[in-house]
Amino acid sequence: MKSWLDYQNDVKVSDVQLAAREGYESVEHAKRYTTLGMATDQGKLSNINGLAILSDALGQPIPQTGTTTFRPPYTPISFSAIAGAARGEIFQPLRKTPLHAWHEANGAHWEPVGQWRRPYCYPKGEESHRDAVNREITQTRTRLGLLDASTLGKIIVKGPDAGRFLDMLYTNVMSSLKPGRCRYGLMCNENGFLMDDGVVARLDEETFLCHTTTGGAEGVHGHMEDWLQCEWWDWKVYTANVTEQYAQIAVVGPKARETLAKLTNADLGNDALPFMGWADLTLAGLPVRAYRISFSGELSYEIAVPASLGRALWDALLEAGAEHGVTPYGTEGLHVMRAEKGFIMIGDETDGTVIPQDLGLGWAISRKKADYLGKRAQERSHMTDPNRWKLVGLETLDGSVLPDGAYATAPGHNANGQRNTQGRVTSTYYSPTLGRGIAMGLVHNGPDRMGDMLDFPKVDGGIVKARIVDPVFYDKDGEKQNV
Amino acid sequence: MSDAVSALNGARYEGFATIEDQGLSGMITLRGDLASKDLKAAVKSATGLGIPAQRQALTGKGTAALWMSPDELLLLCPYAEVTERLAAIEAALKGQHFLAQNVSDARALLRISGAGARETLAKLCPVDLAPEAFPPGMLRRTRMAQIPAAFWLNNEGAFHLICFRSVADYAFNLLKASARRGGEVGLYA
Repeated sequence: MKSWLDYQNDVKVSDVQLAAREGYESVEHAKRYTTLGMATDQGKLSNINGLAILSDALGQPIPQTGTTTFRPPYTPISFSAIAGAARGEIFQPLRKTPLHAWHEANGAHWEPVGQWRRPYCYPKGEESHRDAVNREITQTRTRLGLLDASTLGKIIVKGPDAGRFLDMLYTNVMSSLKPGRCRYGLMCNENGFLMDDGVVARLDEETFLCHTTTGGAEGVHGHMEDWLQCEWWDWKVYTANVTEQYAQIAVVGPKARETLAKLTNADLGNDALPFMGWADLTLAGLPVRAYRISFSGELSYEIAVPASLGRALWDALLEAGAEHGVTPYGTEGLHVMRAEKGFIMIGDETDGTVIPQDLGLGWAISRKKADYLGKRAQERSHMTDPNRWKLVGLETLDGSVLPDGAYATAPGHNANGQRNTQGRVTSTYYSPTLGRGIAMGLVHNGPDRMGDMLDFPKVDGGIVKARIVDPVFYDKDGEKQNV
Repeated sequence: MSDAVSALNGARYEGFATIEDQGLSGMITLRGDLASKDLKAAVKSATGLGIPAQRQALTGKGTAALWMSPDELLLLCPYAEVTERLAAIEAALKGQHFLAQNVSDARALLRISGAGARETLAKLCPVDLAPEAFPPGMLRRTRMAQIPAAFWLNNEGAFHLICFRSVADYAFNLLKASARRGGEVGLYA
């Protein structure tokens, strides 16, 4: 029978008895072996009982066993003293974008993204979240949507060695990027695993702006400084995290160019500002930088403006887009639209064990470069094993939405008597564009098994059958974003 | 730029110390060799000030030069003048390896004043704020509860505090809780 002794560190009576048997006879040794009394109460709840158990196990009176060194708190203190100021509105920092107040006033259903709060969707009246998401996507795909993308990480990398530095950090070549242009990049850690992705813009000969994922900004900046300060300290590169300098608003959909054109005299034509280009403009009288990049597959501009002017730009875009039924969309709409396009999401398709090669991203890995972080690791036998699970699309036969994280079963059982598996779902959504469930997953030999059928058992019993398909469900040739 | 608004939009709280939003301020991150003559000239042309020593804040007329790290300064100037001052730095350091970046909108700037100002910060930051340990002109980059912050003490006994814009509400609410009347400890009285 288990008897708890130290309620904070989960030390049992049998743990202290074991310590005695193992020869930890000194009370100080028994404490360190079991962690008895080492929690924030410093043994105030457990030590006397613990000493008695130890004495009993050693067959000696309690005074002979003695006590551990007394540490504060010597006298009882209140829980509020331990909790400190972290309660109520200052329980934890909530990071707010410059558009937070607008989202709040317009009924945003919030999604925590790290310490940020981002709108998941904007339900209208009695509308369900799912209906709101579907409406936002349909409006964006057919007319015009707006997304608050301010939380995306933005890191300036500058210096004569900046190109060389980014060639080491990203799996593809960044040094050949021309000023005025953007390129998508993958960032791996030394063990080869995919850790972040984003669009890099070359601002001038010596300066790049690296977009990171929302959750990755601080970590990627730290990763850059780590390599610069500890390994390549003689490379001439400076970095600055400018994530919060800008509000960034994605203007997305077939009516995006028309709407922006109402607010500027600048040429927004496909020649002047092509896909994967950027330009500094005056928009609604505000100084902005427009990146022609797309995470939705639609004609799309991400507009960066100094954060203090973010609300002014948002209001101007709402007014200009009114005639097209401009629709702010949230993170769920963003997720569904990227999944419809087969774009991966760090944290969904990746989990710290996935390499770019697993995700069909070989096109974004340079074979010309002598080295990049992760290259050697990706050449290890386990990483080049043809049996690694690889990214595919999954289409349910009945059109339903696959359960998130579901596993595809394989014949037979493993040594623990569990069903063998041959794949798992990494992203799964209802696609209003296609009118059915779509999913992406990692599957054993997946890309070579197009059309094969997989069984996904559900938690509540029953099986969902899904067919292996291409992960790009929508506009495979990219015609919509390139108009 | 009449549409530009600071994160706290002029918020103010009166407790045993006074907490005030300082509104928008021009801020320039400057990274480079702090010992170089040219960088010294660049800082002079942008702020009229010299190079601050470690943990030092130099202040002038509407400007400040704040030490951030062995290769980084934060320069302050009026919000409307940041573009021209940035241009002055770029010109002075042309051809050299440096980074000068406008970060005016990435931060919030608060002022903590009154007799309880030291104590208000001492409750939130692992910094020795005793008058002999933290004199005017001293700057510290530190942690305020759960966020990074930097502050310095001016000659009038008021602190200026900088934090990231996204957590401005949290920073203000923290300072408010710390300065609430009845919460005086009297440590530096």
